[in-house]
Amino acid sequence: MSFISLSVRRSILAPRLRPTATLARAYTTAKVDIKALKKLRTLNPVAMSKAKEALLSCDNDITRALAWLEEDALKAGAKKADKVKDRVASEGAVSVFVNESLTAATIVELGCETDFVARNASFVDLAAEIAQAGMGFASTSAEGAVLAGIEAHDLAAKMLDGRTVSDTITETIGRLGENIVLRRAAVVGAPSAAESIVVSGYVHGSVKGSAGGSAGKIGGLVAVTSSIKSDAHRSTLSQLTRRLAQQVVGYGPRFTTMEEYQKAGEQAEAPDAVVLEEQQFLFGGGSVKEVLAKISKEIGAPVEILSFVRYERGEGVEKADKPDFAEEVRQQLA
Amino acid sequence: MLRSAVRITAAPAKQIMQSSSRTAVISSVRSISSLSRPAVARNMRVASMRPVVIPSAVRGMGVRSYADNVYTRSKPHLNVGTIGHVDHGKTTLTAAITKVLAEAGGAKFRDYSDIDKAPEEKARGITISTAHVEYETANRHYAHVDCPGHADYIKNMISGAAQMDGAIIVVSATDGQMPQTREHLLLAKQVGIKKLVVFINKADAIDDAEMLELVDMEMRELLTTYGFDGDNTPIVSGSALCALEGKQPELGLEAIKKLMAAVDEWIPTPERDLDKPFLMPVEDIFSIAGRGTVVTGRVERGQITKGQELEVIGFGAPFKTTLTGIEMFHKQLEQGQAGDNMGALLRGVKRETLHRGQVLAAPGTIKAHKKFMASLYILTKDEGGRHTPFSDNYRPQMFVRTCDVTAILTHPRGPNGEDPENMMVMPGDNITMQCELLAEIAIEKGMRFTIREGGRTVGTGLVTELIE
Repeated sequence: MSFISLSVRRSILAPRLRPTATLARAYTTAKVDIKALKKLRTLNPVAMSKAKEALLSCDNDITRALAWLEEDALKAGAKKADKVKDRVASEGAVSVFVNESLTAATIVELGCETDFVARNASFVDLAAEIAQAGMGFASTSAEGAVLAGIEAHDLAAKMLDGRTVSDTITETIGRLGENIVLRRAAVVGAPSAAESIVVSGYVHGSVKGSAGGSAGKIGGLVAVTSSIKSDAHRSTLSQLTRRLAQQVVGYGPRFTTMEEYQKAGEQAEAPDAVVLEEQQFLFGGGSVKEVLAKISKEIGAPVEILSFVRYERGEGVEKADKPDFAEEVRQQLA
Repeated sequence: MLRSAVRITAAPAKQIMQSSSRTAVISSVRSISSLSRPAVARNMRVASMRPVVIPSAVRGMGVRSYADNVYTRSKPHLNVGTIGHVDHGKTTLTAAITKVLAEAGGAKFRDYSDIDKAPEEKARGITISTAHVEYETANRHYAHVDCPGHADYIKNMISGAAQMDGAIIVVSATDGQMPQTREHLLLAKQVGIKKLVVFINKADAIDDAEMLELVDMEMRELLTTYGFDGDNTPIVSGSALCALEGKQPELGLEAIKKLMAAVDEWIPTPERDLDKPFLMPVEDIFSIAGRGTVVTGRVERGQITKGQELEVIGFGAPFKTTLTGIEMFHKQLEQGQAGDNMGALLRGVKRETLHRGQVLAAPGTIKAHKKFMASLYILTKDEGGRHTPFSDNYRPQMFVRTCDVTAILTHPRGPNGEDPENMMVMPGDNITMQCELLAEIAIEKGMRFTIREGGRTVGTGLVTELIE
């Protein structure tokens, strides 16, 4: 192969920006600067072949290559996303976001394929950022402060740091190489209803990201309502709500009150197993109902649980009936 | 009296022999036993007060038969696992290793479900989702498991259902290390793997040698960052697919051979139970008129000869004694070793000073402790465990060897610095907690135990650090 024919091939291929093996081969004599490649990978940990392609397209200029990668991220992510879209994402993470005044909170579940990725800082941060973006769906009135689901595609269209949630997920798929799915989201409370609502969230088994976010395997939100007269009351209620969120995560209730339980018809489980108010409080003091009564008395106003929600990662996702490892190996050998 | 005592253990011993003759047909099965029959099973049986019979817990050694036919396995055994990104070719690599070694005459498939379906295994209640492949090199025999998830693997490691003595980290040459490669190395670190080998796969898709060198260099840096020997860790590049399809032998066949040579050489063989210092848990104690006190039990590790000094540890101050006789299957023997159910005649020891749950050990090799840190896996409801969470100061019974004692589990601090008072542990959790026992017993790092509450197993644990 002569030098000329190679450079011709290169000029044909280069504008198409196709990574992968064919391209890498075509570039055999086009020299990538290995030092620049190493540096580029530390600045943006894309696939080795992608980093090489960026440098070759930008005459080994790191600054331009970074911009090139930025530009290419969505395209590369979309390509990868298309490849992995049918793979089951039964792992993942649940993240909650609670606003500073404790008047509104969101919860999201972001699915992926392995818990290695679920524990990775960039994935955890992404889940936390999406939870925060969900605050845009909070009610503006106290009346609307009950729990409301957020449609995943509405949330996906929200902006996150200049890009939509959806595009950010796509780019992350490109970087992590696993199917990532925004499974569900919900919001409770109303930021402007500080007078009467206290919300809190809890995530069990949470892992920290590198940008301050955290996410874990089970998460819950609880909102309580009362006529709150002082900061002391608010702080009492915020501790109570946090513990209730933990109760919800730990004990997985399905109803708030006995009334709801009875309305739902015949139940296989006893009230003290599935009704939040009837459960024994994790932190002592009798049932949740008794603890609520005690605190109501303490602050001189009735305290009621407005709503709660609990997400467990992978809940309801049907796991593919995959052959076990030895069987897979056997199939490859056949 | 001694006779009847020994008879109790004789029946199980027969099982040992049966199992050994069964497995002798397929020489490799034995080695798997250490992988498939966790210490948990032992504890469970102890818990139900049945004789301790662990045919397959005889790790890394042969069982002597009654007739003193010495069974010797031809090669030492190692458990190895592959860790890597879903698309980097772990399965293909394992298939390639199997193929290459099978052609050299030493690989076969055996998946977990084929090997061992003992009812007590099923009754353990812990789901074991480890399927593995066996193969052997000229030097060693291997059981190879895949490691598809962090939590699953940790659970299997704590319960003893699966273990890796070493790992092969698989990285694709086209991608290089990925963000989650960090998590792969953290897992290896967490499960106590000190040495691993890296395989850079899909090298056939890259024809720039410098790029392969960069993947290599980056891996070495990352290995060093996570406390591995980055400079000396063997890194082999090649193509599992080429090996499988019989193409480009220098990237296929030769690379696989090189990889396995590196695994053989770099990852050390775990010490055989037989070579460890002697230890036998006390199961039963008898006074034999005119002879003295006899302790029965099953030798956990090491070997001992009549006349040697022993230490009795647990429940009070340790004390020394001399082994004046060994009896097995109604016969006097000179020596006892790991796997044996034996009666040990001790010199000058009063029956009242001995208790079930103590251990007889080579002096100075194990100490009694009260407080330690442990990795725990809490069984889910479906696994027969608790239905609800527990909080700080949880007090289950801890079962280890032949011993049960109340433990107090506390959080020294939350994983994210939470107040221990607010911490909650849920069924299905893997967690590190501090355990304090109400009585001192012989404990060492790496020891497995179970925790039980109201007659059911609620968790399994692994001692990670001794405190006092």
